[in-house]
Amino acid sequence: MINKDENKLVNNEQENRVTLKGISPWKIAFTRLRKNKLALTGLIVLSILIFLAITADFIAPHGRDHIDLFNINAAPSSEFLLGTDELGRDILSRLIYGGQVSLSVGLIATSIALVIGVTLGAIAGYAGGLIDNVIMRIVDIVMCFPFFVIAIVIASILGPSIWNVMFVIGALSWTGLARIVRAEILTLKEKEFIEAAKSLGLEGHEIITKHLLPNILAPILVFATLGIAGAILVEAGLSFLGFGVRQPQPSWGNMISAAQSMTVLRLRWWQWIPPGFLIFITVLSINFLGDGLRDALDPRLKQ
Amino acid sequence: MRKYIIRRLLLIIPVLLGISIIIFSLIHAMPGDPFAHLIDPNMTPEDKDRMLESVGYFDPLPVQYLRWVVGAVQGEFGHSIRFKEDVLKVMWPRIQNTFVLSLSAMIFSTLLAIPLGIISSTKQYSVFDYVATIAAFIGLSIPVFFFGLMLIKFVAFDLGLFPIAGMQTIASGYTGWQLFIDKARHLVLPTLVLGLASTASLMRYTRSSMLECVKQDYIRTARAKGLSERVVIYKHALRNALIPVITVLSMQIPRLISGALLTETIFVWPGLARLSFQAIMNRDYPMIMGTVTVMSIVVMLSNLFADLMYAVLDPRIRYQ
Amino acid sequence: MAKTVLKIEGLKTSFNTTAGLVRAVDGVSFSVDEGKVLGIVGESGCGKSVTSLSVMRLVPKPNGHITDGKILFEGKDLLRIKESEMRKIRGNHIAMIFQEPMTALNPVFTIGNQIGESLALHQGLTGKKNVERCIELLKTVEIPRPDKVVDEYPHQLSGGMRQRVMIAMALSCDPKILIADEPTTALDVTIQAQVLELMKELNAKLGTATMLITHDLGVIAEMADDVIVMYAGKVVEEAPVVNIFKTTKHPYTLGLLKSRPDMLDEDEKLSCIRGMVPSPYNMPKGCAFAPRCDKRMDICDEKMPNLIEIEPGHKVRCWLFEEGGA
Repeated sequence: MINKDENKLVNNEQENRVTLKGISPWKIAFTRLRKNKLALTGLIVLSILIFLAITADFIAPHGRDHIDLFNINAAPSSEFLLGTDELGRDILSRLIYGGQVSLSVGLIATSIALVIGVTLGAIAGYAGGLIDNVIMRIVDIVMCFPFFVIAIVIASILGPSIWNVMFVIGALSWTGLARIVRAEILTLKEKEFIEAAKSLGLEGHEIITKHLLPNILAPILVFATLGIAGAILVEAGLSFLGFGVRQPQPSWGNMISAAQSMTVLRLRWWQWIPPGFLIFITVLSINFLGDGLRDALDPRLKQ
Repeated sequence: MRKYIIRRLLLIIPVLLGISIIIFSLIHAMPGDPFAHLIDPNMTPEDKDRMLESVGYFDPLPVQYLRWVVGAVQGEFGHSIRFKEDVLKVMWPRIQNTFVLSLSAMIFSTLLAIPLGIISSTKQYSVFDYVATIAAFIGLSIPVFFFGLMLIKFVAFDLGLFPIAGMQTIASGYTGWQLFIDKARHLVLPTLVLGLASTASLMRYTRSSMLECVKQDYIRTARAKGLSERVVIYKHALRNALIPVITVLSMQIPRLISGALLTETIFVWPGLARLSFQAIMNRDYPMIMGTVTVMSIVVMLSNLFADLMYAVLDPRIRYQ
Repeated sequence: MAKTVLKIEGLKTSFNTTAGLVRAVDGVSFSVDEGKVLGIVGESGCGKSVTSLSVMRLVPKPNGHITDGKILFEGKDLLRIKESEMRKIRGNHIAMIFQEPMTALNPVFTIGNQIGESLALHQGLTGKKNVERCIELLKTVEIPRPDKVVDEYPHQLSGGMRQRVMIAMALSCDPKILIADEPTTALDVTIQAQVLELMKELNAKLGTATMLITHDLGVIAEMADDVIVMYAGKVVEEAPVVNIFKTTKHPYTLGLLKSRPDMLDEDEKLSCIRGMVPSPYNMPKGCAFAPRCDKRMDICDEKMPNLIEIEPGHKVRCWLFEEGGA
């Protein structure tokens, strides 16, 4: 990058400030991220999971919905590495396909939350006054919703489908982001370069998109990463309760709901522990990555 | 200060109205009607309509909503269609049950998380810190219901250490002390499950808040006075670090209430969240409205409480 | 001849940073006498604050280390004693005032609580006596309504008042040495003058040896008896205050003087020292000031000159004055 960004690598003592020229903050963040073992592990695990989900059609040992009536509730064996479910479907194959659901719900739901949160937050922060007040009251209202109750109500209005799950999660989880974006913009608005942009006669939306948003990309990126982890957990919870993705489409959450039967819970671990473990590993990897990003991009954001 | 509290309490009203209007419209948009399986199948459609007419079922939604608001303001949340009883009366024991569970989870996570976070921060980059950090990440990443199911299988079934579900042993005839112990034993696993995520995030928060405070100039001043490291950390840094921690602590309340649904479902805990879940399943409109209203009020009051605690702990705000 | 209270010999303090080891203080020696004010002057980054923190043994851990040298306080080497012993000296015999009165006081404790802490710790004063002494100290530093201020919080006071509180806190146990690190830099000009006046009065009254760290030559002229000028972790010139201003030797000190309008003769032009302080990761091989020096010679790039005494009490580190240069 050719710019005059100066980044200060400061040690604890203000007298020992050193100025390194010509290194962009993103490059420094990348260097820091590479040194973070947990974040790196998360990234690798996540890549494997994404690869498996994308290539499910080629990798899964059995068909997603293939029913083997001779092997109902079969324990793990060489043919069915993780056994079968109560319909005789191969658990391992369904797990691989289930990854498609979890990952895509996480991504798309978070994208929806991003669009709503960034837009409303930026408008509120930039416009101020009445508009800000109205938007922030809406944020208050949505924040006070008992999340699962509302999610279930909306899910039962829309009917169970993977797209509706994405919409419900996205529509309910943008508030935190809107607040962050608003707060960041309020601080940035006071800075000289925004004054300069204004005095040059730029329009409000131009200032927001060209000058303000690029400066708050770091917190948005961190929020989005951690948001994906949250969305995956919510999808699993909704599907577990029967309001998310419905059978026969497998989702890690709806696979675990088999354990609501005491027999399955006690005697057929292979039907519910592997999907739970996969959710755990996925969310853990994303959290490691997100935390690493936060450290790398801006240690100040650490909470 | 009093003015501020009154203003904040007044601000609850529009938010509460907003929530109730949205919920009211949403639940009436749900397919199905609450009387479907309550009405005698021999009844003719005309009779059924006449009956529904008499309870105001066909009134326009705004009229129905107004009727609800007027009642709610007077503390009348109507009759549950399912339980055929006053909504408040049905809710009251469930509210108590949820309260017990949430309070227990909150105490558990506070007592565990804050000391762990402090120790972690004073020993930054030590083995302890590393283990605690990883443990916190694990706690944040396990789906609550999965963690609950694992506990039920391994701790309750296989090891038999705690009861599997419910609030107390049914028909045990326990009284007094025995009853208390029995209830406490039933409370352990749900508390662990409900408190897990809050513990993890609270610990992370305490740690970073402490680390932030230890960097401040006034810590250097305290050291320059010759104070021991213990006083510097536990008086000067901790007192400042706890201010934001208190806010996070009260922000856990909505999370506890929302997370309670999954926990209550798994452990068959007769609480408010499960009641509202059942109410949605049964399209028990008055009951849904009642439970949601209670939950929203609790959330808003806890937000207000957080801000007040902030003012109490931080003299810079107190004297404004 | 006044008694020497503090003597520093060959002090070296360095920091581990992501980009390598930084020698913030590199072989500094000086001494402070009873009742005298020693001014330490230099641009930011020259190591003057680190020097003062080293004396307190408060160099930020875990990155900062004192690697070599002696800090002799009344003959005792502070670098050789236990931390618990050091704590008895900090705030008691050696006290410090910091630059930022806004952030140097703990926002959640009252003024009385924060001053009283030292009194309780070092003098065992508790209860009513403690409060009385606090009020008395606040009176000493000329804070109006001291009996009210004692129960107030830092944010209720102005910057100047807070710095007075810091001074009261530092003086609470009658220290032998007072280290003032840029005590007036963060204050408004009028308040600066008031605080300096107060410090001067107290120095005259109490006779506390003082180490005054500043980048402001005006403050030095006003307050100091002796001056050392630091550049890139080293002392480059050391002299009584009159000599520093009248018979300036080192080109760097000269540059500092010429960049101040009030230090110039009428027809002289205001100038500035070109360039910047060299990066500690990339120190020149010879004299650290050479790249910015108007009188640079070939040898300056080759070897670091020694600090030599050219007149009684006046030392300078420059090839212009050392044998073998020029």
